[in-house]
Amino acid sequence: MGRERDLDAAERALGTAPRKGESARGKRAREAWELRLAALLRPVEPVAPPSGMFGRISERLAHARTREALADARRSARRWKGIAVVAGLIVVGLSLLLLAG
Amino acid sequence: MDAETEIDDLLRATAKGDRAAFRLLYDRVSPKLFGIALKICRHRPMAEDVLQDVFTDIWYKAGRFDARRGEAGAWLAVIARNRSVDALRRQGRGIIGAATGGGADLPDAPDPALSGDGRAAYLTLIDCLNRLDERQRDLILRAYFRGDTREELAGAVDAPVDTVRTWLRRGLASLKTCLDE
Repeated sequence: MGRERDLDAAERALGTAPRKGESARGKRAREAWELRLAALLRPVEPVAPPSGMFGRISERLAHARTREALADARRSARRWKGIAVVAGLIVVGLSLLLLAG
Repeated sequence: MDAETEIDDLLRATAKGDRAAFRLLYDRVSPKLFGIALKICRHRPMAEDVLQDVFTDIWYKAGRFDARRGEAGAWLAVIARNRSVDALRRQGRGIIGAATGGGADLPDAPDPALSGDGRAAYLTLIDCLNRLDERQRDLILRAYFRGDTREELAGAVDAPVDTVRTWLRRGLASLKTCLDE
């Protein structure tokens, strides 16, 4: 990767340049910079999160799973509706052919 | 088993949908990730929201972690840092109050608890940052720890945005050269 493109990636890792339109190669370069700079976070002191935090996260993930399941069901219903319409049209077409014959 | 290997294994199990592993991973890394969120957001309720976002990301993105490209702990720290910066930008810095004044704080003393590769990577990065021009170093650290945009950096140092961009890029180029030595 060229020097300028690598510096673009470094700026995206810092957050001083937008990530929009980033190529796959640019993303890999940006992630390499992110991991390089992450050493700065090593000395950050751990702080215990509030006691109910994992429950809140689990609840959020459960809601997300429910939303995904509903979206899947809707997509499936739309697909079956389409299949039913096409099948119905075929039946009507065949019936008309039989009647005409 | 060392801590990094354990986190690697827990991430892999989480990627397969193992909720018990996800819980264990939470127990192992949430204090560190919450510490990062607090350091960057400097606002506890915001940091708590960030931590929820971080673990939601981890649940969905655990499969993307590639141990060949870096340590699991660093990969998780990046998620926490980026989510914290996103929250700062989304919610605005107004709620943080007076604590935002001044320059970015570089942790200058190596933590004695740091060991092995982590300590070496940290010391090398600090050494390379210390070799930079003070202005370039301050811009990089402000952007990293405060999530300042180019425009905000320009406002902070009272310089045109294009000039700040040039200083930033020169700093990053020197940093890369030093890290690659």
